[in-house]
Amino acid sequence: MLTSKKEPQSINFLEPVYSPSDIWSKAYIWLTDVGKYLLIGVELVVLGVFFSRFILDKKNNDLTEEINDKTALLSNESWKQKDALFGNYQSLLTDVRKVRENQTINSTIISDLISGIPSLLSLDSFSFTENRVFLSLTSTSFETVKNYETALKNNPDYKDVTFNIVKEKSDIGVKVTFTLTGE
Amino acid sequence: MEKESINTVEYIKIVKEAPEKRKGYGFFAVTLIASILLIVFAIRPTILTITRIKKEIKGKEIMNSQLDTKITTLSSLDKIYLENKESFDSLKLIFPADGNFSLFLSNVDSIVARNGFALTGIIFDDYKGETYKASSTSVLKPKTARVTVSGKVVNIVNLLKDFEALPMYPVVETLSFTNHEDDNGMITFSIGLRVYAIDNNNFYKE
Repeated sequence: MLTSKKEPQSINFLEPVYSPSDIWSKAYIWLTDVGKYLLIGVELVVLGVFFSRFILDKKNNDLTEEINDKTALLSNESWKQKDALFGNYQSLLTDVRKVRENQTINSTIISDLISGIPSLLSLDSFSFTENRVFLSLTSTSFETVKNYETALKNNPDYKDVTFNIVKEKSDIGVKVTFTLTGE
Repeated sequence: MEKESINTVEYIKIVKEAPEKRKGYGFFAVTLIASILLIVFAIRPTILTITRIKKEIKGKEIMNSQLDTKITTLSSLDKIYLENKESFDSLKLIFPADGNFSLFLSNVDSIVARNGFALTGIIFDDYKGETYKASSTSVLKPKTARVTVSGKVVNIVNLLKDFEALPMYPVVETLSFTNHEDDNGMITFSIGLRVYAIDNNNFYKE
């Protein structure tokens, strides 16, 4: 009885000790072997994320609370008015700087225009309108008029210089118009 | 001897073509699919959630720092404003927001008198000139002040210079006169000044 079963005479290392043949058993083995490590890996990631969310959510909530507090503070009527007022002043000061820097001092130009008229020419009327100049002059000397015309026409600060000369008895009437180049 | 070599060949054949090996490939494929499914449906969403929260936090941190800056700026501006309140209040008179040119008028009056002129009229009007570009300033809007004075030609330049030295930065845009003296030996001058004002009554309201 004891000697009826024949003992194997060799060991086959290629044959597993236990090799299930049906698919369910194989799936069960896969689940407890590979699937286990897969699940552990996934769970580790998910747990890591779960705990990190505690920290991140706390930070997020703290920031939301802080922002809400600050927004409420800035929404206060007094702060809103101050904000608007300071904004207005800032715009105003910017404009004042622009106006100051770009301001053309026309009084100096008018001074140059009036002082530039030769003493032998008598100024009857003067008009300065936005860079356009009109002069009405009288003189007894034609040469003075011609010299003044040459001087104005050669001045790079003036353009479109026109002289309208009318002889009235002994006097010479001169109407001068020109434009300032503004350079 | 030959029997032994046959066995070895058979064994190699068994190893290469074993049904176990095919099943192994199948389970490898199952493992791969399971891994992909877990990555797509478990790991990816959680990582996406974390990324979203981190992005949200970053945005909130920026907003928080901006609010901090605003509060700090407003506090420091408030301090500066209180320290220089008088200077700021004078701006209301220099660049009026309600059309009240009282400071300008009093300055014009004193300048005119100082230069030996007599003020005969002053009118404020909308600016219709061409030299000033309205787009260059956002708050200050140009107005025209037509000043009529009588005096001597020799003093006119000083008068104009004094006008342009006013803190309102007026600009002499027009000047016209005819050299005809009146009974008192005075000439009438018409001066057009560009002045600045603010078209908003609530501009200086605290």
